Amino acid sequence: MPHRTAEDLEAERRLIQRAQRDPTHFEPLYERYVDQIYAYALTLTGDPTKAEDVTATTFAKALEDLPRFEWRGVPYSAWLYRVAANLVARDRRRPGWIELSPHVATDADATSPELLAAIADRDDHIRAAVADLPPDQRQAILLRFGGDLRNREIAEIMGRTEGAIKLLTFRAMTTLRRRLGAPQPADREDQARTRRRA
Amino acid sequence: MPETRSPDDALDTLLERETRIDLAARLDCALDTPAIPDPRQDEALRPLLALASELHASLHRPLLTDRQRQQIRARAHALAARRTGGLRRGWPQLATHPAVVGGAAAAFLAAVGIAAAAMRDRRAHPDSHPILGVA
Repeated sequence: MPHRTAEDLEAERRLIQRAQRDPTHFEPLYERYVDQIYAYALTLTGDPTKAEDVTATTFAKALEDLPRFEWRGVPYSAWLYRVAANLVARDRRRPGWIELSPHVATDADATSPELLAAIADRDDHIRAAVADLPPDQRQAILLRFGGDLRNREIAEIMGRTEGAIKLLTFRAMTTLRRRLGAPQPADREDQARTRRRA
Repeated sequence: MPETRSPDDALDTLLERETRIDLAARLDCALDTPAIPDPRQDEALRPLLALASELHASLHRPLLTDRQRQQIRARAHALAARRTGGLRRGWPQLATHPAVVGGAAAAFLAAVGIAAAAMRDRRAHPDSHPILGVA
């Protein structure tokens, strides 16, 4: 799975420095990470309204703390995920938390309604299966595959060791594999194409 | 009564645990390589690597519409401004948002109205102070 290269990280460091000098340049960082943070919050909360709240509050904190932010050589998203995770954990301690099936916004660029429906359906299954994982495993999967973070970055966010993250990821993936099974992405597109031809 | 386990059971458990740790390490290594290796190299990991690709694609699919992104941006900025007592400069998109421009215009017009009323009042009572109302 792709992680950020040294060049990617250097480019991100420059983006942050630029935003620190002039907050009007925060926009590229927002655009880069808003979807990831929202998806993370949605999978953790299962509630689109709460996910929007968490995302807005995370970026508000990012904007507030921008002048004091210190670059540590890890993706900026690691900091954003930690803030979002804390917000969700704080909210989860309050009563009235309801887990709902995540929903997916429509993608205007989809090639066909059938393919879009097939992908959205599979995505729903995947997100629901991830949402059903035990909290630690769910976090590890979201940060690893949704956030493209490395084990040491995930370990720092979750307050665990790298070895623990490795095992959490493995357990989560074996569980997900049992629950989701096939088809794989390529098969999925083939099936959609077959349906279109029929 | 505590359950008694034979040495074979203990060995099975140990092997199972070792296998799991070994598989977890191999999966981690495979996930960290830039490209997914040939699945034929490691049959045990093949389904998990395929799942990893699917998870990655699924969790990266954008869920927000442009409108939602703009709404969240505006809310984030408003929250930050409220907590810090107003930021020096906001995002340019927010400054051009009709609601923000409209609000600023309304505030400006209200200030002009108050000043005009005060001036009228002063003209009507030239000896009185425009704000305190005393001579």
